[in-house]
Amino acid sequence: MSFNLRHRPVIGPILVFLCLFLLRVGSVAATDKIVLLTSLDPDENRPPLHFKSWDINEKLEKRFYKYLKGMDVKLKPEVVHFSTAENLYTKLQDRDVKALIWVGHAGFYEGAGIAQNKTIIDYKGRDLKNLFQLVGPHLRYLGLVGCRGEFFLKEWQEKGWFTEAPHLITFGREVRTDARKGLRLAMKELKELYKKNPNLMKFPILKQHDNGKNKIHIYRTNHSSEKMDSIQIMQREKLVGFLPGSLENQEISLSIELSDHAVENKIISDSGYSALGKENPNLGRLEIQSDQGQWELFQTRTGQPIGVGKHIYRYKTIPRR
Amino acid sequence: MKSIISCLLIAATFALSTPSKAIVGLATDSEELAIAGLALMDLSQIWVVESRTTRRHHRRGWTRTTYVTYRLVTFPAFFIAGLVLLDEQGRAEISADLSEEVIAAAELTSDEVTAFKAEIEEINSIKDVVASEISSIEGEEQRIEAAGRLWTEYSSVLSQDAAIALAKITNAQ
Repeated sequence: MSFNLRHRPVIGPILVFLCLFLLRVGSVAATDKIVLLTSLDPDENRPPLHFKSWDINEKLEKRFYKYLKGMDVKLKPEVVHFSTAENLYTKLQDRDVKALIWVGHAGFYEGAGIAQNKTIIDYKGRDLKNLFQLVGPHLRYLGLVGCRGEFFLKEWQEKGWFTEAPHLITFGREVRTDARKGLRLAMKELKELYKKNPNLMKFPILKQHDNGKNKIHIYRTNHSSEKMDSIQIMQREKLVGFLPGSLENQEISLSIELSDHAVENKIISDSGYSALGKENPNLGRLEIQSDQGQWELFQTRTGQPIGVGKHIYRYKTIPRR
Repeated sequence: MKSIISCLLIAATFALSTPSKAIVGLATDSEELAIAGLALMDLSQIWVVESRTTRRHHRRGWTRTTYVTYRLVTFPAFFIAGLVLLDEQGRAEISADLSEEVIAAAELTSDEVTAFKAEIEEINSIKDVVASEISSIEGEEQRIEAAGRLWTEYSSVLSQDAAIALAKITNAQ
């Protein structure tokens, strides 16, 4: 076999281009991930009359791989058990994660009066539902396997949490859910989606918008010898930042949208623990710096923060000279 | 600050239909029902409003104090083996979404509604502190009394409108 000399200069670049193209296609397929995050303590989630060796996490992982095998998908699977807010935060920020399934306890109740309970908790009992605000344009499929997960998803859609992810497809159930059945249905849904559209994971990824134009800088100081818990930094209901657990002091710069109404600028440091979840969650103390205003801790007259799992920093504008 | 508390209590006294001084005790018993092997096919839940009135005799005569508490009560209906249900029921928050019925029943003014919604995070933080502090107290009645005391104490850090709204709502429920 011989090449015509006149064609050699043309074939060379084409071959190089083809090789690069194949490498690129291969690398994209290899790095796109499907992630299963479970947050269940096996000792507390074992059905009656079962041996101590019965482990819900093992069961879920086994089923996850089994269902995945039945699908013709080129996604790299990852499984994380005992997932915490840090894990969820990391995976939601990871642009290679195209499908994410969360399995954990959840409760969605609206009382007839003024009481409500809307929580998605990790195995330590920490509420991490607000982290789902981080769902970005790169995520194609989100399965929320927890009791009444569908109600959360509907509410988040209404609140506009997923506006940055127009191609997102979600799965949740409106009823109380068994962990294994919930996972099976979530995977079945994904399989159906793949059947209808084999190019499910090929979609245009839009650019994410900034949170706002006002810069603030937050210092977090540890006044204890214990490690500080991770905190979700909220501007009222909106998640604006996250700090992982740490023994050392921390700092973070954030862009937020300041409102003319002071109450809308409240900053909340939220560990996710309920009033009785942990004896003394260590949230550290925040010092929030900004040119526009200042924040003061909601505290007693003796300087004791009011709150257990969360601290509130109230906003005050700086009077102009 | 004492004058604010006095104003608050006086205002609440006039605003409320009950003739007595109303101390609001709102506490939630946290119940972690996501327990190993406790496979519950169905859990019905109800909110129980408990109102207790105690009478005490003082030099100037009898006084009546009413404590109102909300408790989340859960009870299993069925028991099916083999399921690991992902239900979380250990918490309760006070919602800022006040329905028209609640506003009308509590006779809230627009200022009170605005203040209640604006300070909902602070109100829930106080609720957490109260729930945490009473959790170590033995005996339901003692807990209720302690909750009432704590709510009275902490309501001084809320605005008057928010504190009155809270008192009116809990008494109207």
